[in-house]
Amino acid sequence: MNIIFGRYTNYNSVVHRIDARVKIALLILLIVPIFFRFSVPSTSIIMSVILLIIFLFVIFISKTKVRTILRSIASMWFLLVFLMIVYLLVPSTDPIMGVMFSVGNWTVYWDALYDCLYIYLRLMLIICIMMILTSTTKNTDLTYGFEWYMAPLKVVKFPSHAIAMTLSIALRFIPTIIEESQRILKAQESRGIDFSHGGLGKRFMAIIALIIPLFNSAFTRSDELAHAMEARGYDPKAKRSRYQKYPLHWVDLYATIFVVAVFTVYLVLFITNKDMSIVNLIAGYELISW
Amino acid sequence: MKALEISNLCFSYDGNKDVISNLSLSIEEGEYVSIVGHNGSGKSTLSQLIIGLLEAESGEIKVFDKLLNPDNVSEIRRQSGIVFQNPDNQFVGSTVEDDIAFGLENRQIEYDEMHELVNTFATRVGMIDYLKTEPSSLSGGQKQRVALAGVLALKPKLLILDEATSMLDPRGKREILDLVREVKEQNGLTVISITHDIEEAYIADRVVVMDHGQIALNGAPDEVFSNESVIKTLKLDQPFIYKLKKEFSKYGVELTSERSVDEVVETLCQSK
Repeated sequence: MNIIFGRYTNYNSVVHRIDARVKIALLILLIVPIFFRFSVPSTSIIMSVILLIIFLFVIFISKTKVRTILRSIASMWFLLVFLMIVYLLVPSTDPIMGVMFSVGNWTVYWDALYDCLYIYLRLMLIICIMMILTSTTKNTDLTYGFEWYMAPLKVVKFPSHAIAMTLSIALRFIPTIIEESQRILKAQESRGIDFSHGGLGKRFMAIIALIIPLFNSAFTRSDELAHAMEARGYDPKAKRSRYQKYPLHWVDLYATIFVVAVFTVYLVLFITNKDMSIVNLIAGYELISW
Repeated sequence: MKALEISNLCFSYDGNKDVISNLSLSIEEGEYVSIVGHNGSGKSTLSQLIIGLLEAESGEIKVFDKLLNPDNVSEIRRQSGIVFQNPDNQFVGSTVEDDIAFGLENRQIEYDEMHELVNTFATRVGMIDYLKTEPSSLSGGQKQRVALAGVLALKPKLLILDEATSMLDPRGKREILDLVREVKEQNGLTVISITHDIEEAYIADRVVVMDHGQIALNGAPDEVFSNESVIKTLKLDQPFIYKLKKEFSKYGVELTSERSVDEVVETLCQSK
């Protein structure tokens, strides 16, 4: 069920203690090097693997379960296979590596395999980042982080607080709705609806029997929740005080130094790469090879 | 002072069939009143009218001598708290402490005072060890206790329980009711308990039986349940303790103020 949203795990690791705002910024800073593509294929792979090692190190100290990451990758097998097929079928435009095999007119270069594996690697890196963020940050802190970044938009009357509240309620209700859907699933199965057999059309019809009651109950829930919030004096336009305080700590500074260092190394290597200049960084890889 | 005064109240959802029709009711401060009735009798609608979540068609509602209107609905909500039926659908915060703090945040209570209140009321309802727990790992009874703490932390003078115990197991139910009674006695809270559980209604000071948006019976529990013909036509049952007391009276043992089995046993032991 949870592909990208890893469940928050309640440990008190260094990564857990980093302020949510800082963590969001740092993880964005770590996503950027994932997209650095070096002109020499092996360099790209090596750099990505180093990045992966760094991420795994962070995952290790944050006590995130590697199993959940592997499971979420495994749950995307369809996408992975599909990607592989596309890469092999679409002819390489500008092959720099040798021919892997050819059948008649159709030639598959090693480039295709390399591109595909490279995409896999990047995908894995991004999943790691998302996992680190969601499994070490509480929903409340995460929404506070987003709200903080949206705060400047208040100048143009952007309802950043209302959006943060909506987001936090949505996250709060994910487990409830999942539980509910499983209950409906069992109830409908007991009435003879078969969710796991039959053709696509039949399965689609079966899913409707799940979706409609689920929506029905979700609307009832939201209605009741709105009443409960109103009765406890919630006014989306009014000012509210805050139960949680978010002071910055030394750990935030250390984390920032670490991430900025990694980022700088990657940026410098990327820019000084023989075949790449800062202009090409903006223009993109395709333009250079052309 | 009257905690609640309703006069000639009318309300309907679709404009023609009255859910509440010409209802008048008054409740004294510090009273514990149960409102009973079968489904569709309008008892939950009444609670939502009192707290201003629904607007009456005609008639007036006064809460602590203040007339309910759009201008002072927020003032009235400050004085009253409501606990709803479904424990999941009133849990706003992502952890226990966040949920208790939700109402306090709305009232812009200062940081230190808020933490003190959250701790006090979490202790009060026995949830102090679960402050950081997420709702998905709590039982229905625990969630309802958190909801109660969230409401009590706002120090209301009027507490409405809108079938607050109907989704709980017997133990959870008893815990909530004991807690309410305790708080009521300590703080002089006025309690309106809306329920379709006859046993639960029986522990109140006064029972109001509703039918088709009107009051069918209104009085002390023993008085109300002794009106057998009305109770039967409304398809309500008589509480166990009431029946027990009646059986005893056949043998010449007169029990009067007892509200629970324990109290009956105690009286019997003393009387020999």
